[in-house]
Amino acid sequence: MKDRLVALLEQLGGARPIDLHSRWRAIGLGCWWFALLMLVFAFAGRFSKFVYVDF
Amino acid sequence: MIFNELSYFLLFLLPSVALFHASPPRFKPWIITSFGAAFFVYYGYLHFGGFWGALCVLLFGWEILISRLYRPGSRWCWFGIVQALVILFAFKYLTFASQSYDDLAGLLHLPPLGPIARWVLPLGVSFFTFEFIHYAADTYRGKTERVTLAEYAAFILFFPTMVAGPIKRIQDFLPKLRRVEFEPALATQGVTRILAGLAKKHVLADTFALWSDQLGTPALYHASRGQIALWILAYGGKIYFDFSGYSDIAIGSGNLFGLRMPENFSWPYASRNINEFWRRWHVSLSSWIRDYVYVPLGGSRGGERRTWLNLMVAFAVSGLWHGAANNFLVWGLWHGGLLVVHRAWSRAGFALPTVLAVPATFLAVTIGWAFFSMELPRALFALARVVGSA
Repeated sequence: MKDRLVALLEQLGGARPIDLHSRWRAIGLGCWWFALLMLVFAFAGRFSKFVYVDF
Repeated sequence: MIFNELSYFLLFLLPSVALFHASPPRFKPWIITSFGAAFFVYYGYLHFGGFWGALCVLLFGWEILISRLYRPGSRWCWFGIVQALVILFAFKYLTFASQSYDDLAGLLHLPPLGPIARWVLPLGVSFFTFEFIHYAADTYRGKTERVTLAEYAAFILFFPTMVAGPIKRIQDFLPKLRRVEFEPALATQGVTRILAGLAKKHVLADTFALWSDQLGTPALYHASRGQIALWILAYGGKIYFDFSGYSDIAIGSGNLFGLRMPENFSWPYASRNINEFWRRWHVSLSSWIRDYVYVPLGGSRGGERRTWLNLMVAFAVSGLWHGAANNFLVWGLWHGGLLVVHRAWSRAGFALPTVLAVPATFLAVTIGWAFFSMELPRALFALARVVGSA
């Protein structure tokens, strides 16, 4: 259960590859990209500096 | 900044990836090099000291020329290591060193140096100097194969990792660059990773920052114990999602080139001890510190006390690398101390069950974030308030 959850989160985060041979998975990934993009646009602009960029 | 600016994608990432895949193999390193130099000049000028910040691109040109002289066992390799350290010290630590000297001089009644204004801080100086040192040290030890000028230039000017890592190794990067081809599955994974990284930064890290930023305000001195504890906890969330998000964008950008980058994070807050934490947190830095500081000092080969000293020195270096200030030094020493205690503890045969070990490790790391996130007096005040003695 824990391993499956970790694997799923890593797939959603792009750290693990997703098998895209199924059309539904490809559509699901497209929806996920869209959702992430909308989240980024909705939340962007509050703070812009990354902690590790300039010390 | 940079990775969450539209200019990064429109001016640099997308055009360079398209040109990279459209060009024949012998031109690919030059595509990376040209875009890397343009990237450094553009963002150096915009965010890191204007004209002088942009001019620091010449450091790369000089490094590329000097690296041509490196041979196994050659003194030029030592020259390369020393010049990288001089670059790092001159740009990052001179002001801190002069202030520290003046503080000490005041105690010992010696004449002070006076204030030394900080010059520019070149974009990514902490990261690219570590890659310079790695190449010089590994060539000296005969651990690198012959690298062409274009390949080395592409290695140090690969812009997705130039600003804040992951810190690459030439032995890992070069074979991939030489056999690179467009992989649709890897590119798809890269897009997912970039979007997830941006979301981690903007949705999660910036939300945690709403709380953790209170640590830097006068509100700290009027806050309750619970509030301060919550803000320090929030800083742990902010820094994880901020830096792992950043690393995701860097790694995802590399994937678009068809290159697999080293990983930086692997569920660090699920670690069962501090040793495991450092194998999961900022992996490319901790492995660099291990290989180029801890092991050359003797590692664990000189007896138990010498090992403890080496751990403390390695983590003091790691702390100061994170920032030229006393609080970063204390943060490094805190982690060095935790590793020493863990080493002694585990060699004595003690071990906590996982259900206790994970929260205990998380707590120890979170206390460390107080030193990382605040100047030393503030951090000490905050921790004292949390434990109820201030």
